[in-house]
Formats: sequence, C-alpha cells, structure tokens
Amino acid sequence: MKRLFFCFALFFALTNGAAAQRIEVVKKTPVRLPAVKEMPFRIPQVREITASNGVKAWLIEEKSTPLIAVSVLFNGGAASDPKRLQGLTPMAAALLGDGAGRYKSEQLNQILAEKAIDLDFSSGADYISAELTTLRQNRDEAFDFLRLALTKPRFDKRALKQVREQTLAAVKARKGNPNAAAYERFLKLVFKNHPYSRTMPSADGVKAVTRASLKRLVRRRFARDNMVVGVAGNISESELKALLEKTFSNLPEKAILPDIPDFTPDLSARTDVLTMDVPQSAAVFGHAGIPRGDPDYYAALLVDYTFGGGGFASRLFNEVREKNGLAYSVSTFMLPLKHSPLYIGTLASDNAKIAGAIDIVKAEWAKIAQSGQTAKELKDAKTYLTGSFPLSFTSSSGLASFLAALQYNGEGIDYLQNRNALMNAVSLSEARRVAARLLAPESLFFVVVGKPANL
Amino acid sequence: MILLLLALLLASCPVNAENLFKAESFTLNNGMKAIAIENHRAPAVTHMVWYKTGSIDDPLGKSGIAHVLEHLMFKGTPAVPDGEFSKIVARNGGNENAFTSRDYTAYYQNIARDRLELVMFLESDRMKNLRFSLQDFAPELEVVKEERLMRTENNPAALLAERRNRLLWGEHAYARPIIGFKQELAALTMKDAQDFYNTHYAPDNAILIVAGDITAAELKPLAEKYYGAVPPGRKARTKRVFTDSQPLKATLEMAHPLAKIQTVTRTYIVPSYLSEGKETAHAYAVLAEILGAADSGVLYKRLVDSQKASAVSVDYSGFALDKGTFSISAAVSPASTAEAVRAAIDRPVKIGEKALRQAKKRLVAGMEHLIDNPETTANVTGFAEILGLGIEELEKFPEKINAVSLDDVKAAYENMTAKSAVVTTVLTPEATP
Repeated sequence: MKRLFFCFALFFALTNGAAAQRIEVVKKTPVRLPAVKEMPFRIPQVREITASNGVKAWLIEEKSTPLIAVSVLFNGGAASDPKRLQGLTPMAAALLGDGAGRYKSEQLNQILAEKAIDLDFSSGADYISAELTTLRQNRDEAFDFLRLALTKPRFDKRALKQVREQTLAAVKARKGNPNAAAYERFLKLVFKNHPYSRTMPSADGVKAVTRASLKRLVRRRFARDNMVVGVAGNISESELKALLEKTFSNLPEKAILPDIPDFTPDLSARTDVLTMDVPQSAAVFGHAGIPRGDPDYYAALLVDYTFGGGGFASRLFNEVREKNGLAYSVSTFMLPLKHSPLYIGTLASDNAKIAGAIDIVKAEWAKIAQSGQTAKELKDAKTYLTGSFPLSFTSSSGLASFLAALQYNGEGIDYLQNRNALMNAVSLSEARRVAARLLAPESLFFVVVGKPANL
Repeated sequence: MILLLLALLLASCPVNAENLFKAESFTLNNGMKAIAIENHRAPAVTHMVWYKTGSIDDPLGKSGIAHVLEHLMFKGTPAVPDGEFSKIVARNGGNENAFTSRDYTAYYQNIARDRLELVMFLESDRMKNLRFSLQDFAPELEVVKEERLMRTENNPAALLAERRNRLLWGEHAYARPIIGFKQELAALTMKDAQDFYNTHYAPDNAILIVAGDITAAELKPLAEKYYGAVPPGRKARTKRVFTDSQPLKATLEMAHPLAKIQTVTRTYIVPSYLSEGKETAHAYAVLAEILGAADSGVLYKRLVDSQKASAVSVDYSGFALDKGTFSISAAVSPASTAEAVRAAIDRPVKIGEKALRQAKKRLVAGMEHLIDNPETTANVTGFAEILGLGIEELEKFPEKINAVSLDDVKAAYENMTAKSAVVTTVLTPEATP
C-alpha cells in the first residue's frame, strides 16, 4: 500500500504542475456558457474532541468512506536541531516508521502493508508530523503502531546506517540539481547564521547523528503540550476519544524546545549567481513575507494569486510564459516560517533567456507593488479561492492534515464556516495596501544557478 | 505535461477491486464511452476526458507532437478564444491540468459539482473546435523547449534514459521520448499539430470519466448534450507490435558532471498486462515486489544490507499497450563499485514460498484506499479503461495476484534474465574541471 500511495502522491505532484496555456486580451466573441445553478454548499462540521488525558483533536466524521486519517503535528522541526546535527529532524522522520517496540523494521513494514496501514512521518523547518491512514476495521492496531512509533521507536543500527547513507546521497545529489542548489543557496544567503539557514541536511551533520541524538529528539519534542491532532473519516466521537487516550497517554506532558529568535532578512535588490554547467538556469527570488495570523494574511493570499501563485491565471505566468515563451514554470508562494515568513518565487529559463525573464519579474514586482490588482483581478482571485473550497473536502488524509494545520496556525474551530466570508470581505483598497506591503521591489533578491548570459 | 515518469510510476502501482468502485458506464451514439463514479462526500467532481492517443502516434521524425498538441489545447476555440478556457475554470474555483503519456493523453478539472456542466461544455468544445494560430504556436513551442531543458537536458539520468530507450526499443515508437527529441521538437510546425488533432481527437477515440457527487442518471443527459453532439469519425488505432527477433543485451555508460551519485539501472522488456504473454504479467508484478520491497526484498537485502548500494528500487511497468518493462535500479554506495552492484544483480536469486506469500499479501491489501478520494478513483479507472483493461480487470486483480504460483514467478524470472532484451546503464559522476 505504501508503494501504491507513493505512486499516487508522485502522480499528483507531477500532474499538478503548470499546464500549457496562453492568456491574452484580444477581440472577443461573446461566450455563451451554460448557466450555473448554484447549489448550496454544506460545510462539514468540525468537532473538538477532548480525551481524559487532556489531548484534543479536531474531527470531521464521514461515514461514507472506509478510511480513517489522522495527522499529528509537533512543534519544532529542522530549525530546532543542534547546530552540529544538521539533518537530525529529517533523518528522524525517515526512521520513525522503521521499527518500534518489539517490531523490527522489516516485520513492522510487512504488518503495515498487509493491513493497508499507511504510517508516514515528515518534517519542515518548524515541525515534525505523523500521518496515519487506515481502514476502519484496523483502527485499533493502526493507532497502536502510531503510539509505538512515537514512544518506542527502535532506531536500530541497520536502519540508522541505511538512512544515513541515503541522506548523504541526497546531500550530494542536491549539488547536481540547479533548482535544489538555488533554493539551498537562497536560504543560506537570506538567513546567514540564523537556524533557518541550516534546515537542509549537511554531510557533517548527518554523520554526527547518533541513536542517542534521535532518542533525545523524540523525548523532547513528542509531548502533549506541543502537538495538535486532526482526524477525518469513518470514526465516531466516542471511538476517537478512547483511541486518543490509548495513543497519547504515554507521551511526556511538556516538550523541551530551544528558543528560536525572530529574524528579519536584510536584503537588497541584487542578483547572486552560482555557476553550474547546465543549459537551463534556475532562479529562486524573494524577500520577507507576511506571517500567518497577520490581519493582512487573507488579502495577501488574494494578491499572490493574481501575481504569481494562481498558476495559469497569474500575471507572472502570463507575462513570462504565455506572452514570451521564456519559461515552462514560473510561480510565487508565501512561505510562512514561524520566525521569519518569506515571499518567494521560482523560475527556470534557458541560459540565454533568463536575464530577460528576470527583467519581466522585476518589472511586474514593481508594477503590482505600486498599483495593486484591478477590481476584476481581485474578483477573479476571490471567486477562485472561495469557489475551490469544496475541493478541500474530497480526501480523508487531506482533511486530517488541513485540520491539524488550522490548529497549528491558531485558527478558531469556526474557521471553515468563516473562511470564505473573510476572503470576500477584502476590499480593493485593502488589497492595494497589502500588495504594497507584500511586494518590496527594493528588497527583491535573486539567486541564479546555471550559466546565465548577461547577468 | 507530465511525461516520461508517469507511465512508469503508475505501472508499478498495484490496483484491485471488488465492485468497490460505484461505477456505471454507458456509450453515447457517437461511440464515446462514459463512466460515472459515485462518491458523495463533498459537493465536487473530477471531470476527465482521456484520448486513446499519445506519443506512440507521433509520426516519424515528429516526436513530441502529441505533447505539443496537449499544450495547444488550452489556447482557444471560436466560442472560447484566447486562453479563456483556463480563466473560466479558475474563476469558477476549478483546478485543471492535462498529461501526455506514450499510450494516452488526458485532460481534467476538479471543480464544484454545480459547475460540472460548464466544464463539460468547455471540454467538448475543444474536442472539435480547436483554433490553430501561429501567434499561439510559436511561443508555446518555446515553452515546450524549456520543458525539455528542465526535464531532460538539465538531468543526466533523464538524458541517459533517453539513450537507453532508443537502444532498447529500436524502431518501436516506445523508443522515442514523449517530449520529443531535441531537434525534432524544434522543427515541429503548426500543421503537424493540426494534422495530429484532426486524426486522433474525436469522441469515439475518447473516454469520459466523472467521479464524485454525481450519478449515471444525472450524467447521461449532460454527456449526450455536450459530447454526444460531437461527430465521430476516427478509425481505430493501429496496434504496434514489438518484435525483437534477436534480443539485445547492452551496457551504456555515461560520465556527467551533474551526476553526483553513481547509479546502475537495468531495464528488461517483458510482457505487459495487454501484450503477447499477458498471462504472465501478474507474475512479474509479484516478482518486482519480491525483489525490491524495502527491507524485505531479495535485492534490497543483497545490495543495501551489504552496503553495496544506498538505495534500490524495482519496478514492473505493465500498464502499456505493447510490451512492458521491468527495471532494477541501485544507487552505488561510496564504499562500493558499479561492478560489485552489477555482479550482485547478476547473481541468480532464490525465491521461497514465504517471500511469495508475503509479497502477495502486500500487493492485494487495501484496495479501499482507492475509493476515499474521487480524484484517485477517476485516475485509476481512467488508466484501466483507456488501455482496454476495463474496471472488470481491476476487480480481478487480487484474485489474479493470489493465483500466481512459485513456479510462475520462477518462470518469469528465468524468462526475463535469459531471453529478454536488456540494457544496463551506468551513470557516473565526473569531476567538474
């Protein structure tokens, strides 16, 4: 099953890339589209479940699916790793499903596969998370494997050795991949000595990771005051309550996490070039962004949609790709790191063309900072971001992660009910003010990896 | 847009079902097949149109044209001109994309249920009315060249795989990259795209799949109204047959400065679920699981436990109209050598009853995961249907996997290692000057 889902995950990762389109204002034949008869959209109800051990979870129950999905997010990711153990958190995530309690890796994998239980761990700069998906009838065992992985991971010598080798190989491989190399260099130059500059594994860090350091991470981060839980699928409130008690009672009450200072990047409008002998250059660009929870966050999402986040509908896609054929992919996104949110874009163009593509990005950056969106653009951004909301409710694992992320970001339980109204309430003048705040051409910093001409 | 990897990835994904998919199919008057798959958990649908054409239909010397046409499909028709297609979908909260593979091309939108009719109108419109203009074509060809740079030129493993496929498949269409050879791609013309469209895009060469908050009774009148109005007219596609009178065994080596890890990949041509020898396909699926599964796989143990390789993957790509492939790939450990890895792969494997039993259990478990999300169900159904396997065959998958015997697996292994065409590639890092 794991393999099957790995396949689908990749499938979707790949198919959700940019598509081939061209947007242009030319003479219009009136389009007679079928009329849309709007149907009322019932937003699923989120319930907060509190177990007797104090553990809380947000639940969306869905009886029509055979599955139950759980997402557990713990505070503290790669930025919380000791300086000399760069790579500790991603290695822990890779190892946590590899053997726990009395089950060695091989045995555990066989049982999980036979019972179609997916148990995966992943991590980022600020978090480490567990994702569990199981058939309803296997839920007791599935939750028990989650409990074992969180409280009694084995970190056997064999598994540790293999993950160390694989991580070292990945560190090396980044050096031959212009996109990865550009991203790594961007983070390094933007964050200088801040822990955020060390969130990708380093060879020395990976070699220094030991079983003891992995155990310490588990003891310190996997605690009840440091986690949020999202659950979706075919499970009732009382069933979940009982499982929350069994699963999380053995976790320590309090986490021990290092303090990570807030950081404001000090960037100027310049371009850094790292030479790599490739025909197509890769660029990562951006500057400080807007934190999640900021009152301007919704407006910023709407601005970003129009500017570069909205795929085929965005200005950057239109100008760089559709009108000029200068790139296959160009897009922007908000990276809401807790201690230093960023606003970032990526681009890849033929060495001979990248300078021209960068000029367009710079000009568009300045243009939207100055004049913001048009009324029509703002309206289109709203109808997309509100109209696509029902699509968030089609997959149990997607919903569980979504529910965990909402709690992690400090949203209220009524978020789903209010979200579209908040989005629709953003006025044009507000969006213009936020565009000027979000996009700062004077700080727009580019890292380019390749053999770019004229840079 | 999604290319080479797709077929390989999905081909290695096990699927099975037992009337699990609430699917109902019907055929329109013009020959187009339609399938409704019910899943009412959210007021949304996945709407897909799959065409029975892909890069295998690229005319000689014009590799890449099926994929370039896929890009052009977003450009416009007289009724919906100038990129309006995507704008309309986006304004209505829809996500959309398309993908071109060797054997098929598909277009899809995920959208709120009350917008289904809208996307059916749009998709059926571009099935017959696509407008071609040089003003659209020229920059789009540049975009696809950039796509090739990203996927192939900037990626030594992809470059080597391209050379490998030429050698392995010879004159067969599978020898040609979906994105197109560099020079052939650059020389494509708008007329090539137009010809391809006129030859292959028609309702009787396509399948409609709608999954989500929909019933067949609701879908039928809409399908008739929009797709039923498109005139048929294509001939059935010609079946390609791979003939390897003298199976080739070759090794390709490439040193490249962008390669940072040495990798050894061996690719065999074996029967697919559809080709000659298809009765052995399930045995190859089991064999791949026995050899490559993480932790327990025979080759995983042999290579990773002994620290000859840091990673191993074994894939059977059996979802193909013509023959499939079986590949074994290993990342050589710094302390080892490509020769040691090759020798370990060469050494015959012994397969026991226990390994067989466990592999089969892993393969058939958890079919229900495929019906949680309508988009997943639509994709799996699409693959099966477009290749001509049908949902029926998906439903039989667990049964057929369970019927594979130890002798079947041994015979598959014997046949593959002794008689099949095979190319081994070795990609080696080269110090940058």
